[in-house]
Order: sequence, then C-alpha cells, then structure tokens
Amino acid sequence: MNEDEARDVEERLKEIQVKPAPPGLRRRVLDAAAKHKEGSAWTTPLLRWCLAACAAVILVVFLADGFISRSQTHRLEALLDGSRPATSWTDDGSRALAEVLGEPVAGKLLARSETAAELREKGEPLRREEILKELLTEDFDGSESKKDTR
Amino acid sequence: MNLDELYDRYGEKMYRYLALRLGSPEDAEDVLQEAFCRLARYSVRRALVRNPRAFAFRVLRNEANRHLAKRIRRRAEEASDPGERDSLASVIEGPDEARPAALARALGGLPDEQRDVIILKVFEGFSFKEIAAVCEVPANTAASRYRYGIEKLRSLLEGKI
Repeated sequence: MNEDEARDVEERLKEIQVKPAPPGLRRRVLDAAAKHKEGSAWTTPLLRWCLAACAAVILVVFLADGFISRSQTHRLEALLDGSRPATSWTDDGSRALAEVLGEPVAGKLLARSETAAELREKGEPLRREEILKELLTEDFDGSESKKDTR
Repeated sequence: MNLDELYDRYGEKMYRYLALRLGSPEDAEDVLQEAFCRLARYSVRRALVRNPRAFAFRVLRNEANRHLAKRIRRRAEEASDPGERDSLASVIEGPDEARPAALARALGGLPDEQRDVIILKVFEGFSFKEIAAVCEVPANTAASRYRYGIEKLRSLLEGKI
C-alpha cells in the first residue's frame, strides 16, 4: 500500500464524528479527582504536626548532645592540663562518679583533682603527662601497682 | 500543569480516545474519571514530565487497558458475546448513516493494538514518537502497527475481508 492510499484511508476515517462528552462531565471528573487526592494523601494534618514535633525534638537532642560533649571535653582538658580550675567538674561530677565507679575509686579521683587544684594554687600546675602517668600506674582497687610498690 | 488546566486542554480529546477505544460512552466517562483520579495522585510526576499530553494519554491508555481486561474477564465469566465490545455505534454521530457506520464497524474490527495506534495518530494527531511513549513500545513498532492497521482497514472498507 502506498502513501496516497494510506492518506485516503486516514481521510475517510476522519469522517467519523465522535459524540461530544456529556455536559457536567468536567465537574464530575475534577470533583472526583480532588476528593480522591484528599483521601489518598499519606499525611493527615495531625500526622504532619507529629512529624514536625519529632523533627524538632531530634534537632534539640542533637544540639544538646553536641553542646554537652563539648563542655565536658573542655572540662576534662582543663583538669588534665591544670591550666583552668576544675572545681565545677569535681562538684558536678563527684556524685555521678560515686554512682558509676563506686565510692573508693571516685574518692581517689576526687583526691587527685584536689591535689591538682592545690598545686595550681601554689603555682605548680600538674601537667597532663604526669596525671596520665599516675593514672596508668595506679590501680583503682585500693592497692598500688607492682611497679609503684617496688 | 494542574488538573483543571489538563482537563481544559486534553479532556475532550481524552474522552474521544476512550469512546473510540471502548465503544461505550458510559465506560468512557468512568475510565476518564479513574484516569484523572490517578493523575491526581501523580502530582510530582505531572510537574516533571516534558510532554504532559503524552503522559496524560499514557495514564489514560493504561486505565483503558485495565478496564478492557476487567471487561474481558467479566464477559468470559458470563460467557456472553465477545463481539459486542467492538461496536462503536453508540459513540459516533449519525450511526445510521451508511458511511460512518461502515467506517466505525471497520475501525471496531481491528485488533486492539492497531486500533489504539490509529486512534492516536488519526484522531489525536500524535507523532509515532509520542505514540511510542504512550504505548510504551519502540517508535518502529508503533509505525508498523499503524501500517498494518491502515492496510487492514482498507481491505475491510473495500470488502476484501
């Protein structure tokens, strides 16, 4: 079949006139679509509020965690370097330390920080290396290590 | 493009496509409504597509296919006359006039995939590339279906079949 014959068939087909859509179909179709969209939305207003609240809580937790970690790091560094007073750490931490490590160990650590504070007052700051050396060579079960006892 | 705009632009054409495809004005109305409900769910895709006409017709065609599949199943269960679906008399103007009736009968007698391509090409003015996008087939396949369909139509109209 050549192109002319095909065009002839096309022209004849165009004689078919389809009846127009009934009046009111547009409104019916669009109303149904709008209703369907409302019904199939995966979030309800309440769920949207809950999601927003959860997101806010998660954000606050992350920010607070970062802030607390940073301040704790600063306090620990201050304590180990002996460059800044660590009284606030000892005051705040003594109760928590006693709970976590037990009274004898917490007592030792607190005594250590008091010594550091005293030395600092005398102008002889206890350096990080010295504290670490002592911590590494000492057991916290009340007995001195073999190296120290010798 | 929002749904109102989409309907104003393509609603009538979509209805015409469905009427010719399904052969029933009631079914065409129902399927058009279903297609718009589906399009309402595809708001993101609708905003992203480059060719909204092809996208709308693709959704429409899929909906029409679903409807036809359901109809065939129903008819098989009821064991009624399967030839009934090919009648286009209820959707065309002047069904009693000899010429349109013969044309509609011939169009209705085509295999569904060929009739689909011919409706999109002749009545809606789609290019083969657009038909390929709508029917999810290569453009060459769309062109072949069109050629075979036109050939068969010609034979039907000349009374060779």
